[in-house]
Amino acid sequence: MSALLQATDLRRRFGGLMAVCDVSIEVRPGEIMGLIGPNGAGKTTFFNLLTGMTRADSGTVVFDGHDVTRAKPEAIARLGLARTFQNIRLFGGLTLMDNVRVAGRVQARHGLLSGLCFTPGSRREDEAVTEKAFDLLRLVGLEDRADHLAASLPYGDRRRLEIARALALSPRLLLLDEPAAGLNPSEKLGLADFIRAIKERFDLTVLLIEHNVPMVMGLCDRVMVLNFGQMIAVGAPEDVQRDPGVIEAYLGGDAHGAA
Amino acid sequence: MSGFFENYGFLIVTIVQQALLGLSIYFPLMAGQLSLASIGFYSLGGYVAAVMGTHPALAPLREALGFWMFPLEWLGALVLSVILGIAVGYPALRLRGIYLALATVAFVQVVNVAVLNMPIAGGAVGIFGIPQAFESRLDYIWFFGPLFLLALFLVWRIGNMGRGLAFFAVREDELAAGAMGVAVTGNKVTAFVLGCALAGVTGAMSAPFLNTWNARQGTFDASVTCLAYVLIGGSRSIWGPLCGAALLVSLPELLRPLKDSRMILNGIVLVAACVYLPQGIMGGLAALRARLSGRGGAA
Ligand SMILES: Nc1ncnc2c1ncn2[C@@H]1O[C@H](COP(=O)(O)OP(=O)(O)OP(=O)(O)O)[C@@H](O)[C@H]1O
Ligand SMILES: [Mg+2]
Repeated sequence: MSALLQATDLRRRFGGLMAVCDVSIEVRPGEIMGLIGPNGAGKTTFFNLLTGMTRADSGTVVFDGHDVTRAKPEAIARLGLARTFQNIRLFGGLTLMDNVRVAGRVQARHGLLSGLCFTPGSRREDEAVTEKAFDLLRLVGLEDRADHLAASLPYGDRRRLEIARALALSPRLLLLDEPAAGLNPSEKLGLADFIRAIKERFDLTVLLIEHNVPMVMGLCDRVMVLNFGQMIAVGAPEDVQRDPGVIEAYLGGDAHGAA
Repeated sequence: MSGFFENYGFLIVTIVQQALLGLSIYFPLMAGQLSLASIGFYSLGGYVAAVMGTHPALAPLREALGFWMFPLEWLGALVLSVILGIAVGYPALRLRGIYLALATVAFVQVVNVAVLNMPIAGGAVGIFGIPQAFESRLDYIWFFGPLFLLALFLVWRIGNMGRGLAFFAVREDELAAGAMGVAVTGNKVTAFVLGCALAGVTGAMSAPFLNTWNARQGTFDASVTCLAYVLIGGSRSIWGPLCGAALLVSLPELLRPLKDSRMILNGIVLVAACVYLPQGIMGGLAALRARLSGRGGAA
């Protein structure tokens, strides 16, 4: 019933440009919510505000009962809010396995000292993290390249690794910033099913930015629309698709072609 | 054989001592932080040992402790380095890349000016007649050797345990590391302070080794030399600092027969190393090994 994520009057300005203007939204537990809008609408900035990577000028973000408006990114991640990046930010010089293990250690209790002293606890913890990371790599089909460097991966595989890494945080809410960008048509088709599958398996709530209208319409329970930083519509995909303001601002002529 | 050690003993111990300074720069580099502060902590650590070893007020303590005075000096340098490292690290590590390097160079200068003006540090003359731990210089390997092994163990273990991944994640991409729950500032400061502590203790061991201690120990030139150990030896291999120190310390000695032209040749070797081995000596060896075994492997 109560919202998992609640943004209230969130605002961020870059110089004279209002990137996100007084956006309020509730994301409910268990839903897949789409975030659409033309280029430069403020979608990525909105994600950055939610994850603590950009400071809000005003407004609040409450995640799972915690006010995280001024929290550091790492603190927000530890509460169970994971994300991927539009321009993919892997740890290129680390192996696929280590990329996932970094995130998998989010709840680790054994620190530097117990690791240096080879305590059994820290060894067990390392083993558990490694095992979980391997499972996640298998989930995204990259387990056979676990010891390759992330920088050596082709584009589509990087997107999958980034999702595996985000899942290693054991998140409750997963933010995906244009996960289908740069994928070929068959990969795109598989992606919607994949997102549905991980949502069920890990009991996730998903908020995703996507330009691909058919995918958004087929996948999302609700859709919110940003335009010039303002939220101009939110609701069921069919309703949003029929909204005159949205058609004018974003879907425009190619909505007919796509639908 | 004993003739060899008489001639080269001092050189060998110096290589290990300088390799320790190289390793102290290697620690923050693991978290992607280029810091030149090491030499400042080295200088301060040396002053701690020099003062504790010579100050008249501490004579009774020295009498009572005997040889154990030396470990106490290391401890003093360690505590000072950790406290100062945290105090300097938190503000300085908000800076990135070249700005951090500049800030740490400024720190070295501040330390230099400060000790020159502190009566207890002996001004420009410094402190001399620091009590010796051993009769022979070669015996100082019993100080530097174990410390070097300990530091090497730390670097190796951090690189191989789960917790150490946080350093590398920060090195690879700070923003993504934060998004993955890694405490970015905390890890940078930890890596930095490990380097400070190592440099401080190395300084405390070096004061008796060198017999005198003055502000010349902590110059900008010396900081750059330490960085060169890591860059020439290889910044991605735990053996890099030792390799670089061995080359840079012994090269002028090996070239001694060439008299005046040796510094020119010294310079040529270093420039050639930079041009042909951008990943340092260890990086070059790893690439060679990968080529010989016929497959691309990670360094
Ligand atoms: N750090 C920044 N400094 C200045 N301007 C910025 C910054 N980040 C974003 N902007 C501007 O804010 C606006 C919104 O950018 P944002 O990246 O959030 O858009 P977007 O909806 O994600 O677009 P796209 O679909 O192209 O990814 C753009 O005009 C962008 O140029
Ligand atoms: Mg964007």
